[in-house]
Amino acid sequence: MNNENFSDNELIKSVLEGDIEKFGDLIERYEKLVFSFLLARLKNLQEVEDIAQETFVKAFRHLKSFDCNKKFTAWLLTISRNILIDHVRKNSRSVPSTDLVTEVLLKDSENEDTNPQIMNLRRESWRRVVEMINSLPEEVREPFVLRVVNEMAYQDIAEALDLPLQTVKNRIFKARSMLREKRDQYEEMS
Amino acid sequence: MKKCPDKKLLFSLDDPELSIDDRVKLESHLQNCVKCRKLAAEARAAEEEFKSRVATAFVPGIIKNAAMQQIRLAAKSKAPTEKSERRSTWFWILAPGIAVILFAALFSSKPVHRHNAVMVNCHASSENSKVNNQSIEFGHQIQMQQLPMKLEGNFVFTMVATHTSSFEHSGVSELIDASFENLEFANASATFTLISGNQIRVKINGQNREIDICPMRVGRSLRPRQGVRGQVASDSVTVHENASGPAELNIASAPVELEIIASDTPLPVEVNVTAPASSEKPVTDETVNPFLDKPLILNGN
Repeated sequence: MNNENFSDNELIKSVLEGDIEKFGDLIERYEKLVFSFLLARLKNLQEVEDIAQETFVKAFRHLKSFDCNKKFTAWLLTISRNILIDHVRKNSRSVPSTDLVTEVLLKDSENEDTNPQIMNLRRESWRRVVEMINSLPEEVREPFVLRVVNEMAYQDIAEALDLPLQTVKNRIFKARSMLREKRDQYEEMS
Repeated sequence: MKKCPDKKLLFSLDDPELSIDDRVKLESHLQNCVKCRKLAAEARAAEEEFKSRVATAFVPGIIKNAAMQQIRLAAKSKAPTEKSERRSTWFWILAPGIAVILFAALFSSKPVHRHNAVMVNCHASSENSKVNNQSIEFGHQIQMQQLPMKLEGNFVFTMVATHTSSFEHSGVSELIDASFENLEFANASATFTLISGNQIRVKINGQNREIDICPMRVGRSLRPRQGVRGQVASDSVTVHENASGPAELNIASAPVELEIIASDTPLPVEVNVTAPASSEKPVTDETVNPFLDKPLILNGN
């Protein structure tokens, strides 16, 4: 039976019974979700990866406390948000802001592909992602990213971010609208 | 459809949650409205670009590999399994009993043997020390491979384990064993004085003896704290109970910084400085080191 066929709760049960490798399947399932959630707040790729990693390690440590009646994604994003808050508190450099894109800190990931072309492509993509996300107001970033990148249902986003459903919809619309406008301006400038 | 639709709807053209009715209406409108078609295309392009950029920046597996590496390490020490839950339940059942036993051991009348020495060093601590009738320079480390060995004079033994303890041997004796946890002297006519640490157990003349805490800890450096009123002349004063003068003892334990206040201001701890009979102003002269050439009694911590 393929692991994709297992539900989150089945995988969690296996982990709690001692099969820790099953947690790898959970990470595989949600690493992009956590990654994109964090990119809405951080400008440093290395920081995003580090905090995402910390999120999963912490989730593993506290897996016993997870309530199987709730959504694993919401729980995971809550952990991630808490780590992010601590991180931001400790490191003022990472305070979410709308600084100029030129100030974006880019560090090479330790595990990054050594192919310089791929590295450059990745770096350039990250720079553009930060540029685009920074053109949006902070409150719309998380719902937009969760919807567009992870295709999460509006209702799930509302639960994960603890927001009313209509607020989530409005913010995503606002983000789409602004992104289009900013992209036009950017293209005109360049 | 003449009236252009709400932009909210327009920008959600690719949204899977758009209802079928809305989608049909929207697509029908876009066929006839160039302006809306342009707007929808722009929104779609911006969103597509964002998605593809994120997809390029995100490398699957990096986070998983790094996290699983940590998790495997953590799981070796403590796995969050139901078994460990049961173990922790047992721990809480047994914990009070363990605490009582530890408490009883700590305060029982029989002193606990606290020193499991893993390394013993010996240094000559005076100019007149002799090993096997040969004079040894002050500070010279004594090699203890060939035993027995006759010791005459002053020697500092430093026993290093979880704590470092030192004692001084003054007199004549034969060191017959210096292996792990065993330090034995025979034919001893000497004084053994603890100078650092808590308690040392040695065998002297066939009997187990415990060299216990002295009333005065000696052999530690007393350093004046910066900014303390009353300038103490010397930077480092080494006090020794039995030695004729200040001696540089090679002791492994860290020196303790003591607050020395050479004034008649009330002190936070009781410090008694016993001055010679001829001294009229024992500690008020700020230019004189009150600890030099005078016996010192310290009570308190």
